[in-house]
Amino acid sequence: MLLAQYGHQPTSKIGEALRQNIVDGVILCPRFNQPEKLREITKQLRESFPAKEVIFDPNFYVFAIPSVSRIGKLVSYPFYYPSLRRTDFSTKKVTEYTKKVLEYQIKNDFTKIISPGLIFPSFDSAWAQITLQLFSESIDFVKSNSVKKDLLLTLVINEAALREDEQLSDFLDALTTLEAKGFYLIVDRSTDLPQWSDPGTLAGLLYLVNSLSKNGYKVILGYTDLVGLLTTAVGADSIANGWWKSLKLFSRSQFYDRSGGQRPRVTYTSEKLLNSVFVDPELQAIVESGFGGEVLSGTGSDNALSVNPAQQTWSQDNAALHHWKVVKSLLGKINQSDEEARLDQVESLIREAQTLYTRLRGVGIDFDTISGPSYLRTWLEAITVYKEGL
Amino acid sequence: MIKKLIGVRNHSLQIFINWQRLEVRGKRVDTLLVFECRVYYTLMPVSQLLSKTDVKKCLPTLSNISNLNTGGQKQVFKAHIGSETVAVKFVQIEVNGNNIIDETALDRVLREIKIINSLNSANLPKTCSVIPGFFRTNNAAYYYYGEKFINGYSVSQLITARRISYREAKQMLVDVTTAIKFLWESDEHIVHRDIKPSNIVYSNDDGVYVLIDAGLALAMHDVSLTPTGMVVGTLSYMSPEQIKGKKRELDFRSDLYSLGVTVYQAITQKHPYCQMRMSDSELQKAILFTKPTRLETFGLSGFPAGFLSIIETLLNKRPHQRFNSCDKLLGGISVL
Repeated sequence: MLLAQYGHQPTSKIGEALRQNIVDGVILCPRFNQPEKLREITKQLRESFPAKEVIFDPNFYVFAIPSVSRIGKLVSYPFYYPSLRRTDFSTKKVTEYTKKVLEYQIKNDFTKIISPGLIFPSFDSAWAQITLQLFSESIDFVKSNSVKKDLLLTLVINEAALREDEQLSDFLDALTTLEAKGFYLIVDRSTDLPQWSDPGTLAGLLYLVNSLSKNGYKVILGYTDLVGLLTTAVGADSIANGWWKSLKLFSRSQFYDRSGGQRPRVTYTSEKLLNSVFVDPELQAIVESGFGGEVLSGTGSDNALSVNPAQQTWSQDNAALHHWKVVKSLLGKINQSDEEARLDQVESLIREAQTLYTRLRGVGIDFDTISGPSYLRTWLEAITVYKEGL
Repeated sequence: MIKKLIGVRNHSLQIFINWQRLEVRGKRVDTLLVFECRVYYTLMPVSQLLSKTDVKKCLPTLSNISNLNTGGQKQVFKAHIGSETVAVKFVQIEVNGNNIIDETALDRVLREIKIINSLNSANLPKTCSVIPGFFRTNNAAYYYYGEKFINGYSVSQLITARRISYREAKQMLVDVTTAIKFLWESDEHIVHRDIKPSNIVYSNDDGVYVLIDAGLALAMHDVSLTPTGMVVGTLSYMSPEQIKGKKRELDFRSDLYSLGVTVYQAITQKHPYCQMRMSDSELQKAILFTKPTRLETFGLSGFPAGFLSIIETLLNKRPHQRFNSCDKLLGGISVL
């Protein structure tokens, strides 16, 4: 399934994506709206799309990031706890935080309940242990209050931790006895670059997702873009992403003030390339070279880009809807019941993308680091490492 | 850095060492760094054998007392209380240098035995009128508990005679999983820790497999009643996490692993890891790192692939790679 990750300037794109059945739900976020406004949004979504998921990520993990400055409207929520340190997690406090976070969600009409969670740098860190306490407390709360809605436990893991096989396995041993419906999993990337560069880290993520899935848990990956093809192939239930780069990957840097900053360059997501390329100059060069038919995804939203794309208006709303359509279409291609068949299909899509990139380079089209094909090799290597580890 | 597990044959003393190859001024130097030294007693031997007279002294209401077996941690006596035939088990426990026993820990063990006896499962021994208690002779201390005597045979006797059929294996898997579930879902979250063929008995009277000796491991698990670093269980059926002595508490998945080893052995007549003249340390290494021979290669007729796959899942090295609930395992078996 594909979910919309809520963010700044949502305009009408989420409603439109839900109406057109491009996305299967939305993960709301308290940073961008006051509680009253969020309640109103939730009510509208639930009334207009009763069959869709409306989940609320309480962003509890933000409270323990040192010296954060960009926390938006989080301060207005009843579970706001600024600048939490390790010493702030006594048993009594863990109970209090959990109660506040879960009670808020129960009072509102979300389709699932999300536990509080913390970012942890390694699976044997104190933060990981505190996270387990928050999970345990959440499970107890849901049981003792006879909450009928499914509980998802929030795991926010720094990507470096995913390389530590033994620690990952130890942690999985602990996680897989927890009585919850599933996990809301976020990878805290150490970089702002969208692509994964280390196959071992990505293989660790695949193993984590697969193990949780095999143990019967639903796994929803937040802030996950096209790499979600791989996670879905190994058993993830859903992935969520949005229109800004900060909604397609999670990094702590988004919570700090940045000086200056440029307007984001306009990108176009190609189903065949399994990547987003810059409309100007990359897509322009592709179309001029006669490769438009092979690179354009044909979602309908992108009709205008078939001729002279750099001169066309490619609105953020249009780009977002188009992006979700592409991701949804790709996820639809890996819906085989057998994991091996799904991974074979992903590998086949990757190889086709590599071939197309090679042909495009053959006619002199240059790509930026992030829009180029190097990540495809990382994906293939990660799949190999993952399979070997099983 | 190469991690090596080296076993020193001194009863069950094990030393874990790190073997590092270092470059010192351009020269290669091998160093051995001891990073962990643990004493492993896989069995706490009964040092003082009880006589029938001792047993009678302890439990005067018993009659027709006979010694059923003595092995490892316990002595088992068959006896009668009125018309009831019972098996009474005496487990020797640690007495410290001042001849003092941790009575709080002992009370807890006896309470847990009462809980086990109260579990109403056809796959656990039925309680009898012997009330669990503590017995001390001049030289040793014991706790004891009783179970109704089971008229039947153990799986170890069965597999010595023949390879078991699919029907028998399936029933054994269901029955013992049910027993594990009952133990784990009790208030105390009990882990048996010593599931093996000799602890699974087929009851001729009830037509079910019964998991016996659940009360045995309790004291062994309690640090105040056992020597430090003691690992409870029978090595060849221990789960990898049991061998590693993981900091985290063992859970029912450790028992599922031991059950997997037992069923594997019962259907193939071959232990997945043990080989002739294998030392304890070699066996430990095999349990920790070796993948057992695939069951499909044994050409077991009448065994569905799904059943074999379930057994192999139980034998996975990591708990999270097995079943995370007994119900899921039972559900998997029921659709075969």
